[in-house]
Amino acid sequence: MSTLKLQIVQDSDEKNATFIFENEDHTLGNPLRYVLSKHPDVSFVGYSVPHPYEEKMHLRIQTKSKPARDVLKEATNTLEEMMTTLKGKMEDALREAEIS
Amino acid sequence: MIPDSSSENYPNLRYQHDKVQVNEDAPSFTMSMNDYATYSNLGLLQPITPDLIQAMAIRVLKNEQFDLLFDVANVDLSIVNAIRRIIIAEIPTVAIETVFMKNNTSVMPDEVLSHRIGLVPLKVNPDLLEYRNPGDPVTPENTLAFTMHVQCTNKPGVDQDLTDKLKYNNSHVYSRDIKWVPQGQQQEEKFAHSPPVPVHDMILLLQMRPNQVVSMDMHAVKGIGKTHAKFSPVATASYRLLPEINLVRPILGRTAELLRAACPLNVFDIEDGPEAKRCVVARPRNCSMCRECIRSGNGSWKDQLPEKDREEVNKSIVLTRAKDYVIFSVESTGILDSSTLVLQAFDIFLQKIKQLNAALSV
Repeated sequence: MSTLKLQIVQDSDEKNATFIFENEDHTLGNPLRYVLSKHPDVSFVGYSVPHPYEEKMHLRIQTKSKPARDVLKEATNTLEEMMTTLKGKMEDALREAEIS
Repeated sequence: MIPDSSSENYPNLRYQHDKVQVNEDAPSFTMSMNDYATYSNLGLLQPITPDLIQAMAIRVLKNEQFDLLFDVANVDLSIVNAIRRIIIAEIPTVAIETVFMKNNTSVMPDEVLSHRIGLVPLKVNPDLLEYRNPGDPVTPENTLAFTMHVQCTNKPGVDQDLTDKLKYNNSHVYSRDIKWVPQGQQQEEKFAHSPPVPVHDMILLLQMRPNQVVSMDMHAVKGIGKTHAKFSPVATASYRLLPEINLVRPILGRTAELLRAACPLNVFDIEDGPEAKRCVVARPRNCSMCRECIRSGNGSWKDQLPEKDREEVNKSIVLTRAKDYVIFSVESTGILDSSTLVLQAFDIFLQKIKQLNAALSV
């Protein structure tokens, strides 16, 4: 229904940025935080929903060398791969349950 | 790999990483320790590898139409929780949004009755309806119309000592009294194979006395649980960490008998051992982590033990929960199948990721 709007608050250094997600919340924030926290180039990552009445989620990324934006993109791809795999496993598991 | 308990320098590292220990007062080792650099001082790094992705596992334990139970292993809780949140709040269903009250002489105020009617789950395939955004015109494509007209009357010549249901007609108004009014032939054809009806016939909406009337028209629209809980497709969608009851030392004889009886969820069984009867953990999944088995306050089962045995028992039972193994349960309200809900949740999540990818590519 409501679609994502992304605003990037870039620090003077492109390694550090805050990404403001409109119309998203913990559902997307926490998995992104998890994937980024396992990324080798990330030195800091955290997310917050500043106010429950505002449909906004802030994601702060600080990296060691690559631009924060590129790292987020990599994380997004990793998350997509994980979710696609997991969905496949869910389908398999359901099929298996039907047979037995 | 994180050193296991045999490691001399870090005997508990693996345990603290894998388990939440449930103690009598509060749990310990509750934080997750999965960051890339959590153990960097040991020269251990934890990136996401293809192996890690392949290690994710799902097993379905119960697959009934509206009740699904499955295990998820080696998946971070942030992802499991995202699936739960999407099932509850972001999968669309159809529910009554507007009530045009034509007449209501019952004792139930209009707004209370309208609210109750809104909460009735409707058996409608949400794919067949479009969203109606604020300001959009009401069309057969985005709205279903319903009507309800019920009048309570006396049954003539009936003994007045009987109960209401026997004395009166229509003293009880049920969800089955809500009738679909097709808007145009096109809509009728679209829903022909499964005409919109409430999921359950016998949801009690209100009670009336003779000569009271309720009469109304209703509009149902497509929506998601985030806007109003009536759109949520599930009664419950929840997960919990797998409970583990570890009998570190054998519990024997009378102590075993007392422990078995003390557990309110019947987790333990008694088995014949070589020396004496011993306690075994037979149904760990029953455990709700009530901690009655490790409680030592007043009135606990340990009171019946001699003083010297209590210390021994305290050391024998260790409750933990696995951090990387959850039991997920999805109970549908009956509109969509539970298995459909889970798969749809994955699709919605993937759609979110696609949207983010697109936004980052600009």
